[in-house]
Amino acid sequence: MSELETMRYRIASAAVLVACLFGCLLGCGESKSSLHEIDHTTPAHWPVDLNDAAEKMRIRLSNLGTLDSTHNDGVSVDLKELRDLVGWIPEVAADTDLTEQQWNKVYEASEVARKQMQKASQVSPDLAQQIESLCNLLEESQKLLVVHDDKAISFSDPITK
Amino acid sequence: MDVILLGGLVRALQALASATPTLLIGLFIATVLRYYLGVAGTQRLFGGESLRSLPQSWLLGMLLPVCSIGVIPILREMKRAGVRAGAITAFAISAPLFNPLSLLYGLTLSRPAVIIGFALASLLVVTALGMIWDRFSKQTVAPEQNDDFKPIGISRLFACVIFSMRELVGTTGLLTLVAVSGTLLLGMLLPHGALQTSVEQKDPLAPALMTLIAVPIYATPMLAMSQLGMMFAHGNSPGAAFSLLLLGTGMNFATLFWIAKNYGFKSCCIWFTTLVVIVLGCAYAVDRPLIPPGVEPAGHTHAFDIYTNPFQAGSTLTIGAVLELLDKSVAISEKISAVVLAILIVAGLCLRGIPRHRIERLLTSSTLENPKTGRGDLIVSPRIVGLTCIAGLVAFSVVACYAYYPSAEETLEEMRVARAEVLSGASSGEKEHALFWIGVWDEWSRRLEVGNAIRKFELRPYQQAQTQLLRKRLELLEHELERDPPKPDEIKKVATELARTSQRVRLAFSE
Repeated sequence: MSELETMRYRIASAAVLVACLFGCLLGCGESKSSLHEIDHTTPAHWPVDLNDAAEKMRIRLSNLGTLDSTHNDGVSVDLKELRDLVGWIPEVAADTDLTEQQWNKVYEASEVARKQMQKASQVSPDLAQQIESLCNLLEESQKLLVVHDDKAISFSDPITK
Repeated sequence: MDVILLGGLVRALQALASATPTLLIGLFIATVLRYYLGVAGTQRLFGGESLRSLPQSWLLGMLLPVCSIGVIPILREMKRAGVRAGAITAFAISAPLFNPLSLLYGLTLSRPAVIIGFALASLLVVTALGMIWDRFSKQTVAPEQNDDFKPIGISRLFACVIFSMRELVGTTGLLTLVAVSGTLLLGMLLPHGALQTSVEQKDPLAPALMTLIAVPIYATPMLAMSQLGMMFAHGNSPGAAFSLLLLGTGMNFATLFWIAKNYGFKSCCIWFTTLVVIVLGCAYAVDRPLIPPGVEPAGHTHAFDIYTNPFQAGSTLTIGAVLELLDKSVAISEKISAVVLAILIVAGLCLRGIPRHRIERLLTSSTLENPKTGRGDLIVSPRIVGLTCIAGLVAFSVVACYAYYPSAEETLEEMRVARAEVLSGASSGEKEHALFWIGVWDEWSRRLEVGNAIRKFELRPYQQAQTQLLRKRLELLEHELERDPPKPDEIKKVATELARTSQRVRLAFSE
């Protein structure tokens, strides 16, 4: 290797090192003393159960119907939160003791509504009807869960479960 | 100082350990190219001078289970056989990106279509890069050496082993150290957890920053795939994920060093600049369209903690703690591969004093031109043996998929053990123990999905929903355990929910 080539390698190596240091300055701060410094935040409108999801969706639906369309901010927040709620339903339902068959019904209904909401810039009467049916389904599903409550799993005896 | 130096060393050793299995595979493929396929066979395997050489090299790279270190001895053999420069780089970049194991793993992520899209995008990148580089590098494709050493039978097997030994104590060994030097550097420079908030969804600098960080990174295909999974789960920048895959997994310092040494500094600069421009362009193009719908950005990710210093600033380190960390993070397959490599290195060092021509003379007692066959011996063309080896390796990868992703029954049993360890660790306050087993449990939950899918050819939405919920709960518990000071009531609450979800996962996958 010629002297010129050797020099070029050195310059290239130095450039990569400088680039790495630059990267550090850009993206890094001090050492994190605890990983919990950056928390996972649960959105304020996250539903606690299926009934709560139905109630929260009805409130947003009602706001969308009554608010004057010129109040863009109010409408967009409700629409965004309604989209969120519809999207979260499979997870909220999966976190209950619904059987797979019962869960599938909720999942399919929420998927249909979610896909329609993705395209819609406002809630049409058809979509509103669909969401209302979904709310009813959620409430019916919640009723099915009452019988499961006695079978709660205890954390105090985790190994035997 | 101790924390900086030891942290960097631990990261470099972890990288070295994770490279050992694929380095062995890379050496195996290189010996097949050298002693079985030969110059003509190798050129044909990679498409020769035809237009299909770039996509063919890409496809071969996708099928062979090597990483960006394991690919080094193969590149050397390709160069030796006079394969086109563009095809060499197409293989160099695509081979480490995916293999059958990591591709299946990727399909369990929240948006499998994105992984398939990334795989196809990598084809575009390597094709464009290969075409541009073929035009500018102006390399002759003449083979470097004649194929005059052609032992057969048992002599050829010995030649293969001796070749591997020499490579390990020679150029390939040196390039391996160059490759992990990037990880060493990052481990020393980046404080613990420093990359947790660097690649957020709305951050326009995220793809650029990841491009910068990804160059010195060494990542195995499986590690990169799990990081992509975490990035999508946390709603991080999809463009940054693409940069990580192409540059973090596809190349490292050794790739650049090897290209500069073999094709000259100017060609290397052209190649690297073109690669970065194409990757950055693609990264920014996909950054917004691929934002996963319905995923609330978590504001951080632990996916890149592996590249930062493993120790917090000011911690007091003992040799015992460092060794324990290494022991926990190195898998059994890596330990076995490391032992095999160590034996080859020691033997290679012993052979260094013996001139190559003397060994070759010993091994050429039986050659293709002058075979010494025993009763029942059959002379088979080296090309047939070589192609059988390559096909066998691909078949082995498929079989390995079934071994790596066992049946649901076996996986659920492993998850039961991990569950017991996590929950008992969390309830008794053994934080480190619980944190270690959380990772194990998370990993098995993904294997459960793939194992079920490749056996039953289905993965029901309910099963996916339950495993995703399980991983979410595991992460929440991880955060609660990391909280300083800890909140026992919160830990108990999250652990109870986790236990419930775990039971539902078991029910979902039990028939």
